[in-house]
Amino acid sequence: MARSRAYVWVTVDRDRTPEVPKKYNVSAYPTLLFLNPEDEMVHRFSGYREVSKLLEEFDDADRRWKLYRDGEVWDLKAPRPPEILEGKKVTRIPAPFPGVPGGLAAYGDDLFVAERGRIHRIDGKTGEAKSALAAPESIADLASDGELVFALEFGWTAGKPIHVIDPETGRIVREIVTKENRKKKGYGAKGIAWRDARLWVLEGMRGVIHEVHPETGDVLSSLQCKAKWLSGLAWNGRRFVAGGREHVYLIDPASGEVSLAVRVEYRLRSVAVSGGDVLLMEQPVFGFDRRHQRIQLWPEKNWIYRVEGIGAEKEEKSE
Amino acid sequence: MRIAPWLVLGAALLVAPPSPAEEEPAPTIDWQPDLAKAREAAKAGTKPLVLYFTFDT
Repeated sequence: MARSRAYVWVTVDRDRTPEVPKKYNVSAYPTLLFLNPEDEMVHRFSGYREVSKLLEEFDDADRRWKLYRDGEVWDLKAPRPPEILEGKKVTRIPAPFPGVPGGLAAYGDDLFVAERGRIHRIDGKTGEAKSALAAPESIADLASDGELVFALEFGWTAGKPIHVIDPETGRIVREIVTKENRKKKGYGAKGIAWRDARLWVLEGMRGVIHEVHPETGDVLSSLQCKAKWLSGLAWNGRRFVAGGREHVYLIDPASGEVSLAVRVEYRLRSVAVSGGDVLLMEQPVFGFDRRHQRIQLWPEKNWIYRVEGIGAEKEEKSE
Repeated sequence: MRIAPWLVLGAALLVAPPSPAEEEPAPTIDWQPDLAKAREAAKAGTKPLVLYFTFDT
């Protein structure tokens, strides 16, 4: 493989030399890291690739190496579309933290938005901070019945609880455990919504919405959606709203069919519904800087996007 | 009697044994056993140093 001679290769075994992956902030295997003599990152990627994709990575490494050799800037982050979606009115509300969101729920005119270990209450129009509650670390999504806040753990699918929180005091009032999940191992709860005095929990990868009794935690029914790889769930009064990798979906509650799929430019993490608007938060994109520090590439600042008109009857018919 | 050209070609393909494919050498990578020496080699050769991170278990 003549092409391999363009590089000098070293295998780093995590178990024999654990200090090396630590130095370069490597936690995914396999990872290929292309370095210049200054020990700076020229290119990096993780995971297995098909041959054509693998060669594309090497093409990219070569392109960046040439820029480095020519004294040019080589580590500019990849650009992305300037707007989350087109054709609808979108207003941006500043989110009160960087990093990965842990869910979003409307509460009157306010919003609750979760991060690791905290749930923030903010003004739903301006983003002004009102209060912050301590919360469990691994919250995947939030919902509210108008009085209480329900905080879903990512591990609900393996028997972890839904925390019921009094938003005024910040105290966990009780926990809802679905006992039948205790014998399972997979973590994959990605969304929760309140509808008709029931909780609805989304298993994101499989695209299944479970109807959960809010007192007993029992699963009363399960709905297989026609979309998978979902994250974030809400109820707009007629349909479920779920986030996807490239779309926000409106899902029929009886059939699981996708009634409407609106194209979005950023992968979605959390959704909510407030006053007829759909609120979206994106899954941040992370990368590494030249010195191997993990950084959030996009967005530069976290936003909650308030989108008008998703699911309006006349638009549904036209799409 | 005329014989259609496609019939001649088809018969030839059936009769003629396939030419032995040239065996390509298996792709190999010249792994450097020592990180410090590899770093020097990359510097001397003005090549990128590629670290392939893996694990035993």
